[in-house]
Amino acid sequence: MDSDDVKVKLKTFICTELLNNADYPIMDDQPLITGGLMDSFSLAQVGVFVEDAFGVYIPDTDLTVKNMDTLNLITEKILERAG
Amino acid sequence: MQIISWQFVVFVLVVLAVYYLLPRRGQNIWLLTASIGFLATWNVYSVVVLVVTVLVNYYAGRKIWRGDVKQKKWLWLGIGVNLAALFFFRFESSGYLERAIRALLSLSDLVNSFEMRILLPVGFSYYCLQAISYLVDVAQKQCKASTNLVDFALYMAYFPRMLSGPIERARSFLPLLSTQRVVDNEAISRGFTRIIIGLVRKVVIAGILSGYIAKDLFSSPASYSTLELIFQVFLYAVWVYNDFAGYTCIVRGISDFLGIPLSPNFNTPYFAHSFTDFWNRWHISLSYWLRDYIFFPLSRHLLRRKVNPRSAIYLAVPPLAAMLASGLWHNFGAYMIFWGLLHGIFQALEKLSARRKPVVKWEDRPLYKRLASIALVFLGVVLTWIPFASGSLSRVGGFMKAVFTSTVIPDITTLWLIPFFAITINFGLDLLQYRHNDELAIRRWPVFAQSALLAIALLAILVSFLGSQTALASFVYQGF
Repeated sequence: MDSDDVKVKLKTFICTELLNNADYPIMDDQPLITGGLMDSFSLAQVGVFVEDAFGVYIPDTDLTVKNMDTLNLITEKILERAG
Repeated sequence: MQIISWQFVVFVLVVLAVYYLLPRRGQNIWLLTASIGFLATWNVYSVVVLVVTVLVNYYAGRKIWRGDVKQKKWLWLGIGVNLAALFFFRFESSGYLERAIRALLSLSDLVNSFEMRILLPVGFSYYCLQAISYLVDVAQKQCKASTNLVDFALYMAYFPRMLSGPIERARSFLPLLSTQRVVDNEAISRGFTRIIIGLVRKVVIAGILSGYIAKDLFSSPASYSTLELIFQVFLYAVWVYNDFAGYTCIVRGISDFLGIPLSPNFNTPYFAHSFTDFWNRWHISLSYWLRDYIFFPLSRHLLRRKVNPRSAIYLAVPPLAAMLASGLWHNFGAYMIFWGLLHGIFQALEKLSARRKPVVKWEDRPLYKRLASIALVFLGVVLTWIPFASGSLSRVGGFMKAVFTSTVIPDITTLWLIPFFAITINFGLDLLQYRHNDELAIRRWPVFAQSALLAIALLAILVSFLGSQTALASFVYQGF
C-alpha cells in the first residue's frame, strides 16, 4: 500500500464528504480536528471509509484525536494496521 | 470520608508518606489497601460490591483474552453482568423497584411492614463503565487482559477517582501501574496548582453560588419573578460546572503527587461553539466512553448498512442513542431521560443544519459569528440544566410556566453582586485556560505574580470555607 496513494484518497474523501468542499486546500500535517475543520465524531465515517477503500479495520477506541488529527497521522495508522 | 474534610487531608498525607517509602510493587498494594480503606469509610457494603465486580471482570477478561471459541460468550456475559448490576442499582435508587414490589404486595398485609433501601454502591456507576471498556478493549486486543489481580483491582478501586471519576481506560491506566512512578518537582508543582484551582472552583466559586441558589426554586417557582428564575438557572449552570470541575482538579492534583496522571474531565465547556463541541469539553471521560462504545459502533453499523451519511437517520440516531444512555446513566428518572434527549436533539439538529454547508475554519469566521455560536450553545446548555436540576418532569413544567407567567416583582438588591463576583472568577479562570489551551496556564506567569495569586487564592479559600453557610463537603456528581 502506497502512502501517497492513501493520502490522495483520504484527502478526496475528507474534502468532499466531511468538509463539503472538494477544493479545500488541506495540508498533510494540518490539524483537522483540533484545527476546527472536523469534529471527532466524524471519525466514524473516516473509519468506515478506511475499511471500504483499503480493507483496514481501525478499532473504535483508536479513532481518537491523538491518532487521527492529520492526514499524516491517519495514513500512519492505516499503514500500521495494514501491517 | 468526604474529600473536602480534614480527615481526608490527614488520610492523603499518611498515604503519601508511606507510598514514597515503598518499592513499586509495595506501592500498588499500599494504594489498593488505602483505596479499600477509603471506600470502607463510606460503607462496607460498597467494598463487598467492588470486590465482587473486580473478581467477575478479572476472570471474564482472562477468559476473553484466551481467545477461544467462547470469547464472545464471555464478552457478552461480562458486559451483561455489569449492565444488569448498574440497571438494578439505578432502578432501585430511582425508587422504581420499591414501588413495583409495593404494588405486588398491595393485595396482602405485608405491604405495611415492607421497607426497602438498597443504596447505590459508592463509585459503582463510574468503575462499572471502566469494567465494560476493559472487557471490550481486551476482546478487540486493544489491551492485554491483566494477569495481576492487585493492579486490576487498583484500576477499579483507585481512591482519587473513586467517588466521581474520571472514568479511566485500562489500556492507558494499567501500564502506569507496572512502571516506576516519577514524582519530581514538576509533578508536585502541577499537582499543587491543580489542587489550588480545584479548591477555588469548589470552595470559593461553587461555595458562594450555592448560597444564592434557592432551595425551593423548582418546588415553588411561582414565588419568584421571571428575572429571578432565569438568573437562578444561570447561577446553577456555573455552580454545577465549578462543583464538578473543582472535584476533578483536586483529585487529579492528588494523583499527580502519586505519579499517576488522571485524564482531564473539563476543558472550558461554556466556550463550546457547538453542542458536539460541548461534549468534547464537558465530563470528557464519560463523553469519550459514550462516543467509543455507543456512538462509534452505532454510526459504523449504520454506514456499513449503506445508510446515507447525510440522511436524518444517520445524523440523528447515534447522538440520540448516546445522549439517552448518558441520561439513563445519571438516573432512571423521566427528567434525566428528557435532559439526555434534549442534548441528543440539539446535536442532531446542528448536524442536520450543517450537512450540506461547506466547512469554514473556526478561526476564519467573523468574531461576531464566533461569539454568537458560543452564546447560543451556552443558552441551550443552560436550558438543559432545568430538567437536570429539577428532579421531576412536573417540576420542569411548573418552572417553565412560572418563567412565562410570573407576576412577582423582582427583588433586586446589591446582594446580587456577590454571585457576579464568583462568576467573574470562573470566567477569568476559563478565559486563561481557553486562550492558552492549558488548564495550568497560571504557571506561565512570573513567579511574583504566581505567589501573589496563590496568597489571594489561599485567603479566599479560607474565608469562603469558614464563612460558608452551606455544606461544602459533598459534590453533586457523587450522587451519580
